[in-house]
Amino acid sequence: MDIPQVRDTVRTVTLHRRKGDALARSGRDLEAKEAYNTALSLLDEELGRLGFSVAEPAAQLPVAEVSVVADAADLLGMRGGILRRLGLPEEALESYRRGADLETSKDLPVTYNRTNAIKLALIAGDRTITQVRQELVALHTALERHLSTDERAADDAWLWADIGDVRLLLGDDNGAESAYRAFARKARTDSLSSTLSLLKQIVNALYAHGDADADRVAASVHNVEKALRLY
Amino acid sequence: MGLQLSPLSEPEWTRAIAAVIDGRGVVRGTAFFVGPDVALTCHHVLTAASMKPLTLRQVGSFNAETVIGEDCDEELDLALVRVPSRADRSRATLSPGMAMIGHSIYSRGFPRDYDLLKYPDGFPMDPARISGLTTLVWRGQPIRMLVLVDADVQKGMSGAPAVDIADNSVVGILRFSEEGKERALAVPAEVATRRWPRLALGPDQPAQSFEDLTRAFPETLARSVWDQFDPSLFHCVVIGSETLASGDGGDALVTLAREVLSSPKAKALWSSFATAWKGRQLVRGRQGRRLAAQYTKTNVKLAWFDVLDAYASPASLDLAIRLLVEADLALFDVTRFEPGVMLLLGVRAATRRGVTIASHGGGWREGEPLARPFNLSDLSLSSHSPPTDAFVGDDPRLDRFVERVVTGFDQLARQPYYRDLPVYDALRQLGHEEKVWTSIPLDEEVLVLCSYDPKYFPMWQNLRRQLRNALSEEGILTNVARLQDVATPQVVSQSLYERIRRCAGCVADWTGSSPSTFFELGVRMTVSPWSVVQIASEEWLQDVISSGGANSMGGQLKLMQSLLDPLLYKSTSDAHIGSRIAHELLEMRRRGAGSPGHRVRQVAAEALGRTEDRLPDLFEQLRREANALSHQSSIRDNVPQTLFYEVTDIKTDQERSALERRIAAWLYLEHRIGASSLPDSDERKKLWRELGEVVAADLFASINEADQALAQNIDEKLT
Repeated sequence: MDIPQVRDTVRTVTLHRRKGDALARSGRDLEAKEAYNTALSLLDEELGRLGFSVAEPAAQLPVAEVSVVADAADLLGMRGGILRRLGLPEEALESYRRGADLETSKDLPVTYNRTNAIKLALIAGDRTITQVRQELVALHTALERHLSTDERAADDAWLWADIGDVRLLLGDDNGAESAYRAFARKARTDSLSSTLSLLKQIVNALYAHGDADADRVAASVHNVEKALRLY
Repeated sequence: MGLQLSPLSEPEWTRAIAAVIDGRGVVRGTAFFVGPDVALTCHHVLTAASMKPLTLRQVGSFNAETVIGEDCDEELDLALVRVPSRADRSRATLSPGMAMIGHSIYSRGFPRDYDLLKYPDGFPMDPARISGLTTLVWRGQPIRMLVLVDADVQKGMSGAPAVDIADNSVVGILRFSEEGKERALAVPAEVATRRWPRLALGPDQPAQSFEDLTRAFPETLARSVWDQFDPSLFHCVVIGSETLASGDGGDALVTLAREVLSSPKAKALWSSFATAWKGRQLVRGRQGRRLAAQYTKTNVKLAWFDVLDAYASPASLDLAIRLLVEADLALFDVTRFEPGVMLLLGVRAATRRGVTIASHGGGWREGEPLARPFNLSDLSLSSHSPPTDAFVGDDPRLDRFVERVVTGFDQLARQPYYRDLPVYDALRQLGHEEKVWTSIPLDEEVLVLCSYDPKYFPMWQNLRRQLRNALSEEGILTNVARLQDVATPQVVSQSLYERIRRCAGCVADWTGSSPSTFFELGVRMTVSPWSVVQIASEEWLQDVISSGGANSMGGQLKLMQSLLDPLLYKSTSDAHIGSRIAHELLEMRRRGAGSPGHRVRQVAAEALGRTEDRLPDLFEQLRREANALSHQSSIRDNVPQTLFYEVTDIKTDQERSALERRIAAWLYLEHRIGASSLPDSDERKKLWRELGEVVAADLFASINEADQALAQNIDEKLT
């Protein structure tokens, strides 16, 4: 499989996503939507080329090499993010879940789709904190295993963000703070604020859906922000 | 009436001389036979001939013999001429030692004023006396000459032997007289033997033929050498040691190299080599190296020789230097860190960033303790000692060898400052201020490369004192220093090689065979246009040369002495070594400006012109620098690149710097190259798009309005 082409796609999609974000920030929503749709088309096309067309039922996973599966999972994760920006949470959730299945099927070290599938389910009101607790515990176990046995995985700032999110949702504020600190140290300087802004969306959604854990999670987010002096 | 020789009473050399006659029948000078078909004379004698063919008429012969071959050295003003072979030919033998001051010198030749018909056996020169040495600059090159006083050398005597009557051996070749001074100059015999090392010394050595004497290279070297560097091929050179030169095949480094290149393992080697050269170009012709996709043995040029071959003659050394500069992969047998090998390693270190493997044999194995030369203490040494344990399957050394080479080429491709030897960057990265590139004048410092062994210390003290005093008498008050004597906080390697490059005055003392000194000497000879004054303790050198045995390094030092001609001194008792060195340094200063430097430098520079790879294009350089600071895919692979990534300010600075470099690269491609108008298949167009997307994405993420505007502008160009 032509890996450089996947990289090209990721690069171009990143451009359109960021362009869309910039346009959305300045209130040019239609142009932003256009940019996001361009990114979405590119992702769908690339996924089809890899044999992971989103038009096919999710249950039918093609047999492919690990590197191709990892690329497909990565693209599905990006796709979920674009769909979320386009205001299509259900489609976004579906994309993350497909990606999560791929991550699990090959025991990939990345957990981006799995984490985001849980977070988006909470945002969409599809699940409550109590309902996702078992998934969070399983994900936490998988993340801790990767981070303690795979030095390369431990280099990846995104994994630290994921484990921070999971710990925070599970009520482990100290563990979350520690993970976010590692994330902040390792990540690009523009990464931390975007991650925590998603957590705030979750808090708002939990209140909106009357989740019993809304107060606890809100307090945890506040504590972590305070500890990291981000507000 | 001519003077007739009596065959019984006259020494053999008198019957070895011959008149050199041109096509008009005019005697142009004198020659003397040194073999059955070969005579030695001055080059200017041959060029004086107004018409060919040249003939030689030897004393005692009525027939003139036509010259059928010549091997000339214009710089030394010497020539060998060839005539048909005669087994019973009389010959003169060259002195194995130096000419002695005060000794009486005889000669016989064919002066113009003495008719050949009347004097068919030539005419004797009045006995002269050796008064000393002088340096003559002949066509831009300094040549040491013997000075003969009380001599009456007439035209036509050029090329005649200067014979020490004490033992009837030739100590020089007459060049010319200086009018009104009653003194003549002669090329010392050792200059001729340096040029043609197989010339017989003394009556006991067998005479060699013209072909033997003029064979440029030893057979080993000649049979494996590549004629010219071919950019589409892989060039590998193996330099063997004297220690293992006559060892069994299993212990020779070249055996290992051959086995690897004949095995399937060579495919991995080829692949890594081809990858390392992907996208790179040679300076000459700005061409890439068109390397075949697959390995075949015909894609490889393998040359091998041992250190004795390298120093066998001036032509051999030239060839060895060319090969080791041109080679993509150089393998050095550094067993016992022999001086000749270390010097060649220094040349390689100064010239190429290509992969070099230094391998130690002689029973040493990787991981075992080994005393290493100071300068090479961090060298990753390989071992080619045969395994002691019985094994089945492939020789385990092969895998290890291939792994090293493959890793070398992989790293070479990846790291702009890849090094497997010290020196390369220390010689080149001196800073950006103009003054850091200029020569350090003789008045400021004389750098001495020498042993740091405590036994040498008294000699060093004596040398420093003498040299400082001698230069002071010439009005030069300077600092004579080894590196250790220079007050600098810099690490030794950085400071040393900068000084080796910049100091106009440099002395290298061979005494003690310090491997570091010979390594540094190789670097100096290669990089400095001011050359180097080489010296050696006579007692030490004779001891090493005369010591035999399996571990002797005498063979190479003897050849090196012959080729490189160090000034010899008598240890601490020598009261004149300082003034002799000072004289040479001042000579170099006088003639050095504009000089192309030592012959080693000239050959290396010529070879580098063919093999040096071009600096990357500006946009490529900027892209690499940016990626090294903060990789363009770091949004996806969010892995820290900053060493102290916990310091946000440092991380921000690197990210910003990377972005600015990408912007500069993109603008260069857009405005200087016009990449947007290039076809989509053009690599520059691809890079223009790639950089544009990365830059615009980063700028879109900024809240700065100017950044947003630039992002918009770039995005519009891309679409």
